[in-house]
Amino acid sequence: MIAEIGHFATLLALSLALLQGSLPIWGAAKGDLRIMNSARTFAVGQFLFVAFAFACLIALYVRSDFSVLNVWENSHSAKPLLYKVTGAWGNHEGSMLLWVLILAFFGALVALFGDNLPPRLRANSLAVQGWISIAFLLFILITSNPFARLFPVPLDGQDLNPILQDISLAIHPPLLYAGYVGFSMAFSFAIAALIEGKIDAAWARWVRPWTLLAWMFLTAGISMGSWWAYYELGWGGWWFWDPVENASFMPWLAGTALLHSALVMERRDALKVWTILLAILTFSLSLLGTFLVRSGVLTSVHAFAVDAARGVFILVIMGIFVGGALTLFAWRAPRLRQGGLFAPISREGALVLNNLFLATATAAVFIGTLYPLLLEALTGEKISVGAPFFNKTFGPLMVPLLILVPFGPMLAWKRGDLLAVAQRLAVVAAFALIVAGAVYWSLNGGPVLAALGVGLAVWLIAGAVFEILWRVKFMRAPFAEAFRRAGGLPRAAWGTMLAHAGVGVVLLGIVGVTSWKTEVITTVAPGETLTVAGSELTFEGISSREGPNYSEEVAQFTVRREGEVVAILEPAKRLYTVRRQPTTEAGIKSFIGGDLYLVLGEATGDGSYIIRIYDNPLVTLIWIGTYIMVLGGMVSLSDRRLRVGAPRKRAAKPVSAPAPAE
Amino acid sequence: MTRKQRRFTVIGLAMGVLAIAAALVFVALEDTIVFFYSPTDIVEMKLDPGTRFRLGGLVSVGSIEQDGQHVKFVITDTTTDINVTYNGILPDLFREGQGVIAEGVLAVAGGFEADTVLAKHDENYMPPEVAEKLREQGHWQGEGQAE
Amino acid sequence: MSLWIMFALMAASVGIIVLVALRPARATEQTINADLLVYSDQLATLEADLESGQIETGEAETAKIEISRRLLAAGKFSAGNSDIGTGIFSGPTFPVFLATSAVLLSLGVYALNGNPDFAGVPFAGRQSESPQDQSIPALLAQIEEHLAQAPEDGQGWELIAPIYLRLGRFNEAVRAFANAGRILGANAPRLAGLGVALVGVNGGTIIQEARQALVQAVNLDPTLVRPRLLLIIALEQDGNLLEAREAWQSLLRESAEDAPWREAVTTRLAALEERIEGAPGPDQSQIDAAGQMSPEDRQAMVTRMVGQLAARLEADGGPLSDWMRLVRSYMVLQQEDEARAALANARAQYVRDEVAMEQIAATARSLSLEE
Repeated sequence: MIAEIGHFATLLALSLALLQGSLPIWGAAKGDLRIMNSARTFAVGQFLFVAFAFACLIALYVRSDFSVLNVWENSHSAKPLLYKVTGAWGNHEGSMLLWVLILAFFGALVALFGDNLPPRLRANSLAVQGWISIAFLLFILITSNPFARLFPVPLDGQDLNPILQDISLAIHPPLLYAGYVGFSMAFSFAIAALIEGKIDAAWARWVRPWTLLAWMFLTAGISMGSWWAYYELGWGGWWFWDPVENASFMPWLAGTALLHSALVMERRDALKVWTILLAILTFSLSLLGTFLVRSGVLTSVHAFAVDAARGVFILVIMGIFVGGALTLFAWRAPRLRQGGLFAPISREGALVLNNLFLATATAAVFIGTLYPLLLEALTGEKISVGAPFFNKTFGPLMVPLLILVPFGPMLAWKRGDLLAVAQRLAVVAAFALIVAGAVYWSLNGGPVLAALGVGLAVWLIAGAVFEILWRVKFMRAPFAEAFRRAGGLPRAAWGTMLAHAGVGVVLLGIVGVTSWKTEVITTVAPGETLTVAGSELTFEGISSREGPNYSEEVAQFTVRREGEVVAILEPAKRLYTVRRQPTTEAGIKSFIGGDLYLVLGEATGDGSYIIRIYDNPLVTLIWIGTYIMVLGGMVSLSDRRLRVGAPRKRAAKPVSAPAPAE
Repeated sequence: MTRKQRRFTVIGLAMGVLAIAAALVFVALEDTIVFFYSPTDIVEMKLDPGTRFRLGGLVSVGSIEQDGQHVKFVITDTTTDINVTYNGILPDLFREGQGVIAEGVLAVAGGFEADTVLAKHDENYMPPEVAEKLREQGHWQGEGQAE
Repeated sequence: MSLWIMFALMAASVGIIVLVALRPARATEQTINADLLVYSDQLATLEADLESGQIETGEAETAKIEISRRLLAAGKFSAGNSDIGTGIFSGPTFPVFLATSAVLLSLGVYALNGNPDFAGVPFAGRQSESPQDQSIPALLAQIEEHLAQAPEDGQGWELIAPIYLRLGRFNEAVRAFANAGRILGANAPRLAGLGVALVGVNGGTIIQEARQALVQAVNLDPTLVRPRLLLIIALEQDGNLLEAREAWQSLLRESAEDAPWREAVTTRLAALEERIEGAPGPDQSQIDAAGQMSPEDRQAMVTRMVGQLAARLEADGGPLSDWMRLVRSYMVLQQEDEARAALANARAQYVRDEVAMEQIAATARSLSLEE
């Protein structure tokens, strides 16, 4: 019964989406406020019904109702409750419903908190959200209905793919989707602006927080995915330039560019057309990401739905939205009021440079990801474009951008003084070079690039901190004065600092793990002790254990440093009983300097085992850095100037006066 | 600077960056792409030793010989077999009779020296390239394919 | 019935949403000029920045002028919003029409695709079904769940192991027998079960590990028949045909007249004797000769031998191992159709023998010959 209720709720949501997609636009064209505003109620209503449908799906999973095809395919009565719940979106059908849920949620937020939006912009953008909802609800109902039934009812389910039975992977898709879908807000606003043929500062001000929110979710989602790949796949790596990873990375790059260009638009009334285009492209890349993952057209470790019909359907959705949006752009953009030009040496000039590099880097990743597809379609030849390609293209494009980052916030709007900024930053540059030199010296040479990489990371972190110090006149004014100024700094400035410093921290981690990683593959017998990168590992033996839905062989390793036991690592090989699928569980211990990472291999027959040991210096910084970036986003978002629909303090004053009786 | 000069500076800079990026992409594509072949392709194309590529097919039944971390096995597309040597830990789902992709170089003495071995990722998934190749030769029906 | 009540409630909510969405606009609702708000807010921020010394006075002045200019422009523009009003379809007919169509559309599509009569089947509800209705898989699920919580319960493993074996889930059976043996100690039935399961895992081939378990089981309890049968088949597999014949004969001598396995053993023995006399495998001299032949001749010899084997099996039937040998040979000769035909014939002969059917399927799988 729950399945049928969920199915019906999805259909009702579709009806409401149809109304949301049609009425407000018509109202906006006719100038009828009542009909325009109906979008708000429809958006909230649609969200409630999608949420209800999703709740039904979770209930079906919790109750292990195997009369539902989707539950039978992806769940099992013996699965831990947590994974029963998360299993609801750990599969194709459920994840698409989650996609629509997040979309409807964002729509509802705009509807509820969009009081100070121009009514036409609000009505049109909600209508565009409605179209996206319609497309994806149709996709769900036609090709991938999670409420499809199964008869006869099987006794037990087929279980969830064990590598997906993991807590961080349970959170990963919702975060990633919140990012993808969040960019749909920027897209809807862009389309609404094009429909209306009018774009202004209020537009940029509204797009910015949504983009920032989406960007934060996407950053956290990508980071979580990378972490999962690191500890669950047992390959010791954290980023593989896998097509599916690229699929989420491209919208991230474009979104980062959008974040910066919207700033120029709000503050300087310039870069309007470019910002609109970027908003369209960012969401198009999000759709592309969904398409790449869902269609299985790319060879990928992640592709879990290989179904041509679905791929074609998403391709059509993508074609309509991207093609339609770009056509509309080509037709209407020339009519938008152009903003003024500005000096190349200025904050906005620096932001343009930022956009230039980010957009180019996006294009490079795009080519590397799609070139194999194109080549196969044209010549039938199969190739793979791997990490070396991206290292050779993406890397060189990022380096100048990162060098320029500390300059940006130091430059004044409108007309900056590059020389003065360079003089101020000389201290930071000197500090970064000294650190690089020290690293080079202390490691007795070693790769020069690695030392320079560390220097660049320090330059970013120190540059970000220095910018704040400069603004509060630290050391140039009495301490109390500096402290007062720090209190008066807008939160957005702190956010910028954190986000830029976070990039530096990530870079530090990347440089550390790529330059000084140790990898050892060897055979160990029980009782044997190995020394890797300063740790002594003793292989204590192997034992068998039974988990709730798997059995495993666990190897015990005692790790000693300078004679002290610092960790017991237990790398394991698991066999998930229902799917008869083996997985490798790495044994990981994070030290301050880096991770010790153990993977258990095959038995050699004489009681020995092959093991793979990695020492990954500084690797944890990669994820810490991304969370600093997200934190920066949060701080920025809490700035009143960015907060959407936040009550204005000034407006509160006149209201507090007693209203004259009428 | 006049408006015109400013505009030229910005456009010139953009063109410069794009040109550099384009050059990087072309050079990198030239250097780094890896082709995908089946054992039959290798025989037909008479590849030179040392060529780097991906080899896909099925692990021939009964062909795995393991000596510590040194592994030898045969990859077959059921018409042609090729001997593969590999040094390292095999993936979880590496099994006889299952699809596999190995990346590495053709050895001078014949055979294939793999430095990376990828197995299919779960029970329902076979590397699309392998499925494709096998289907071309009529040896493969179903599983990971669309109904 | 409650499903329809639920549907009615949901449909009613949609109706209410549509009516609320298109409620008459409140007169107090005013259109705002958002740009004006943004710019005046920017001005206020600027003042605050100036006050706290975030920005130089000169810089602030230029910025102020610029924002003020935009503010004025926005003020002029606000006339653009004045065309907004209300009044289209203000009566109740329009909303009611929309609400009805929305609900009818959803119901219509649901009527095409939904299964309103198909009640939910939650797992918990099924456990309480009366025990005699419970099929083996349900029992199995119960024990599995129990074992997941108490993996050291030897009795549980002992109980579940033969079920796995009967269902042909050999991998699980191996684990269950091994666990039972580990926890409760080895005994003849457990060892025998382990051996049989190991044979199953390897698709009928009796590997060394299985042999050890079977031998131990027979040593502990010589009356166990199944391990003995398998050990004799192992002899056949190794090509020790004469020894195998002797073993079959002695087994027959020891068995009671009405022993259930008598018939099977007799058939098997007959087939073996035929093999010993009629169609011996290639002897050493033949193999040597084959080594010196040209590839064409060797191919011809192989084809001829396979042909003989096929003719014999098709005419008189034969032991399973011969059938599987035939299937493999065809695959070596790349005659896939013949291999499939041979598989089908083997299935026809062993249709009543569960273990044999499983072995046939395993062979088919290993040769990628599944349908």
